[in-house]
Amino acid sequence: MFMNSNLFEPGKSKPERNFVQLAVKQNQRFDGRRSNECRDVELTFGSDWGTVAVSMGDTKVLTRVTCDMGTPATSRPNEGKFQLNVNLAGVAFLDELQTTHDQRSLTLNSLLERTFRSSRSVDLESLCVAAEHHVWCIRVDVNVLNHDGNLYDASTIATLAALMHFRRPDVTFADDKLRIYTEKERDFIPLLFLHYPVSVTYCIYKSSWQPIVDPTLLEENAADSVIVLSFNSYQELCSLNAGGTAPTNVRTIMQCARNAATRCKSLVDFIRKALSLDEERRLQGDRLVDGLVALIGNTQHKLSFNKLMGYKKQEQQPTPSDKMELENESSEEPEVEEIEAKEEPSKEETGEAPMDSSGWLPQDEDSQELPIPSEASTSNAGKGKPNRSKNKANKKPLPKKQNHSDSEEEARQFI
Amino acid sequence: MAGKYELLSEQGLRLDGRRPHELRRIKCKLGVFEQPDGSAYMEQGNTKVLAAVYGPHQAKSKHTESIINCQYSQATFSTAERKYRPRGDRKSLEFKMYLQQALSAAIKSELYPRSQIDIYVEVLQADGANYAVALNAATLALIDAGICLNEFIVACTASLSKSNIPLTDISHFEEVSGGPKLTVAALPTAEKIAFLEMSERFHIDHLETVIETAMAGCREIRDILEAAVKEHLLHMGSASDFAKVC
Repeated sequence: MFMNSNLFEPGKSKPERNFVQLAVKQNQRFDGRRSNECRDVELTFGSDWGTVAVSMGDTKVLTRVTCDMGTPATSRPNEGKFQLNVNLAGVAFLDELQTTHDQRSLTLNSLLERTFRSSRSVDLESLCVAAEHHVWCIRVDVNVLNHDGNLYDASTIATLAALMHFRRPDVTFADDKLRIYTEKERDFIPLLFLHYPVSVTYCIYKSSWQPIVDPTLLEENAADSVIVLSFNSYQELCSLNAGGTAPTNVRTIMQCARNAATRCKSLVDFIRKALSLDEERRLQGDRLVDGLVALIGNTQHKLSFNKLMGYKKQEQQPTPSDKMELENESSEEPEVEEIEAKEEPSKEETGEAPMDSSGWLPQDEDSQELPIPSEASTSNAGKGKPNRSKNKANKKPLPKKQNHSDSEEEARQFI
Repeated sequence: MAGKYELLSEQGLRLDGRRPHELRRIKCKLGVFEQPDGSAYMEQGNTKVLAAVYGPHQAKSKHTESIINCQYSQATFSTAERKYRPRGDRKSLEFKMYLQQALSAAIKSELYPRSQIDIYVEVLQADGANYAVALNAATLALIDAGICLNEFIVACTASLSKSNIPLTDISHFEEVSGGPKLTVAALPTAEKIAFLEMSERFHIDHLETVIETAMAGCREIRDILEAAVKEHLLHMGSASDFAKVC
């Protein structure tokens, strides 16, 4: 029926592509985000160690880490095994052709491999029990439940959170006998990490110099180039992949890299915070999430990036009021409407000024954003992340403008 | 791992005696085969690659846009241990996809609606920077086939030594001894990057210098390729009086 292989996937048809390109050119996005604003990330920890569900908007990923005793590879006798598996069956409906399905899983797999394995994020030597005989095999299963763009970030966040959440049983090896202790006998042991990497994804369009962070499926499919960068919390680049038909220059990549580095740092902070909250709940003996349905359902207590990190930010920066406002009306995606609905009360409390529709128009942008760089440069770290609820609460434009504003004119000249 | 060995000696020489910014020796030849529309052979150090291009011909599917189809394969005898699957393993599928990405940025696809271009790349000997050499060979083969390109698309690799000195054109030994590896496919004159890939890790501060090093390598390779193309044309044209014009 469909001549064009995946016409029913958003963003693949020509009119849709043109439409997205046009919107990007006008510096607008369909869900009212700014170009450097990410969707909220929500984490839900399962009752088992190493089970984490991550949702970014409608993108949902469930990751499970398991461990097992095994024999090491002959080439690395004193290292544990680390296996990454991506299961895209949940979104197989998107791909009518086998080749596009393969490509999707291939890119995701190679991103995870490079981010976690080749950058050596997990200390595999600590997983060795007896060299050449017994090592732990850690297996990460990434299940994609729904795809609304940016599977890359969702799966790296899910994988990192699951690995950090995971605990393995204690084990002793004496007199050629292996003994694995249950949780009652000895406490489980968390994995050791050398560094904590997560990724950030950008889309680039031929019509605009401005990269877009955290694309939805529509934006991702219509994009000319996609850049995926993984950074750890020490601002080290762990993997980088950029490609597509829109040729990019070094400046754009560096701009993305700098922004991504701060975003990654705050994401790792967020995961740490969420983990400590989960720990608290476990100690208090709260009823834990039981079962898969509860884990991915809406009823469960979710740890949201904006909430967790938002509080911290308000303490850091007093609220400068200006008319930066997000677009409320034209949100096209249901998930955004939900967020808006939730945020409605807080909006009233803060006594927000009525929306100034000119506030986010591109031509007014410069005058509004120019004062921000100085502010942005005085306050430090952690503020790099685009934050929806924060924007609502204190109406401060996003800090990234520091980088953008100087590259702005040059990039325009370039075009 | 971050480097089992130091990649740069105290004297500032690399493991194979090159200086940090030195490329390996490049040898290339266009039109090595009769049957395909275009073909090329390329040697960069000990990495040897053959490329063949068929097309543009009518596409089987009903896409209105042009289709660029690539195949990347490594001969079973290309590595020190015999390779069991010359193609179809994860690595070659990945390279195939990256080749497609990079080449679609260079080919003027608007000139070839409803047609398909097939590019077959065979690595005969793998000694580091396989993807980069494969892409360079593919560029030459495309030129030999007379397919319109925006510009030469050239790839080069770069790494970073422990003393934070960027290295150009990584050999296999440097690849496996750890340390980061960055591959850039660029349109050197326009200074645009069509494809960028990186693994292992280094600090963001070094990113720009490493990319710049790889870009410089790309420009150097471009000059070499251009010279090769000119020479090929002279050779081809010497039968008629065409060569005298060049």
